[in-house]
Amino acid sequence: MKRFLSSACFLALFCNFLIAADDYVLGIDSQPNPNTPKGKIEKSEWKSNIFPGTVREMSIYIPAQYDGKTPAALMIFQDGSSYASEKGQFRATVVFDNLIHKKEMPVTIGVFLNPGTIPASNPKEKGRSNRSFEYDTPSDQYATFLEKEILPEIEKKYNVRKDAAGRALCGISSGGICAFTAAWERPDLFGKVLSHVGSFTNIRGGDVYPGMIRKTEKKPIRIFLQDGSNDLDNLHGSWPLANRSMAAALKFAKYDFIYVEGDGGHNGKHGGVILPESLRWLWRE
Amino acid sequence: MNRSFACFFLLISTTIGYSQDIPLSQILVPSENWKKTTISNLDGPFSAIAPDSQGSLFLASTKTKSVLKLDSNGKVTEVVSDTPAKALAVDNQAGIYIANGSNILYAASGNAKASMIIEGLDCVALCTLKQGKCYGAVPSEKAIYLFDKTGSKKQVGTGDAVISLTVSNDETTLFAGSSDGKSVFTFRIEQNGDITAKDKYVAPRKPPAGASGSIPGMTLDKVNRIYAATSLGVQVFDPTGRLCGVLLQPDFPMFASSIAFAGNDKSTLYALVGQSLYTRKILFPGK
Repeated sequence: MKRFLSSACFLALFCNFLIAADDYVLGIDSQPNPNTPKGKIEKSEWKSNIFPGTVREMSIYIPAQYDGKTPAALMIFQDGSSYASEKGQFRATVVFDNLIHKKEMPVTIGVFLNPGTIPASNPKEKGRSNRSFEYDTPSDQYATFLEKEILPEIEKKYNVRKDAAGRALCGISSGGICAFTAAWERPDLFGKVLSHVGSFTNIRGGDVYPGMIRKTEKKPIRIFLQDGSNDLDNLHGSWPLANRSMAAALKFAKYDFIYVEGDGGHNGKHGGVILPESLRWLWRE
Repeated sequence: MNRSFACFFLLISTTIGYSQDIPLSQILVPSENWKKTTISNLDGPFSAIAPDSQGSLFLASTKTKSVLKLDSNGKVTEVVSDTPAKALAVDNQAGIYIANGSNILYAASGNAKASMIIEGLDCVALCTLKQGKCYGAVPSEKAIYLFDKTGSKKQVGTGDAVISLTVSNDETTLFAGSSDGKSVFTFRIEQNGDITAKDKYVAPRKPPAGASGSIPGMTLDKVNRIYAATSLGVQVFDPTGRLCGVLLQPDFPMFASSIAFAGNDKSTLYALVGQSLYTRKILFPGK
């Protein structure tokens, strides 16, 4: 019996590797190019009042082509560090450098926001992560946070577009549904959404969106959804089914959307590899 | 050897790796259900329960108007006499805070007589800190108070009627269950016990339309999973506030008014339902 169980466990692991090839390789637009002007990054810490007591890292990417005279487009990334890392799965700043240089997306300021943490009053203890509360809750609180705190801070420093079509939101997993929720709540502020392995499941009630999309007058939002057929299937739901359900609802309601499904799991490999193509699609005229 | 490692890796990664996103099936003991307690000398009915850090459970008996102690070996002793209670909390020195009518009493360890320390504070829930202070929920004032056994008190939170309290294992966060059942609020606990950074961190599943909700009891397990007693049953949330699942009511349609982990390894969840005590084994021990 023990031998059987061990074999079964090993087989389960092995099969998992077999089913999820997930062997995506980053393309040329995700690699630094010495002939491409490189944008600069400004790092800071943000203390929020909308999410009381939270602090978070914020990095702002300013493309080399930004001149301060022409309003730049704006794209805000949730779980920002994972997108901004030049050695990560997305390498968004490298992709921005390349696509902006080739004029395949507009001159865009990138805001890379991490979720909030409530630091412990005792410095020996760990702070409490506010990520799930901020990202998974289907409410207008995160959109309000962006409207009242982040957008004014960016607009104070940079000349950015104020029309919704000139502002995009992006995120992975809970950050993906967060990006959608903020645009859904405030389409007057955000007109573009890029979601990677988005958690449109019942973590905190986010599985309601397909039904809501079908029965709500179409909102002016352009949406790129990505998921993998081997994404999570757990107590909150099935990620592939949830994303397919979102895609079906968006199709039904005649949204400007695209859904791309790879064979990966709950990670940014596939989303990272197709990020250049996703951004071209999202920012197309 | 490789197969054993693979098996071990799979088990570790799927069962005990994370406190987040764990379903009820990995929290509950298979085929175990709620059981009504039948311990001799445990004279109910009861009006309140509270655990201590050693795995004992303290119960306020409405029949004998006393506080009983059920230790982790199942032995029952009366620890405070002539004191009916609607809420209890036990501090690190085994002293007991007692909400009695509109007053707060304190019985030091080994002292069967409780003394009044605060008059006119109508607490329905109590919760102690390791330093010895105690939070009290006063829903009639929509307030949370912090006090100590000398009777020194201050109001630390206002704005919402909360009726259950518990603190995280590291005592960085206070959790407070709302009287309308809509939220478990979280507060950052400052070094002096003040509470800040209030937010509606946990949103429990709502009762059917037309039914009223509340969160009269709350406790945590060792990894800060939140157990909230609601009219739907005990709702379990992971430390990030995500719902793991709902334990059915021990005695439908009645529901638990107070819950606590106690017992030998603190892996028994006690629930006060009506005036009866129910127990259930849980795979993860309480804090």
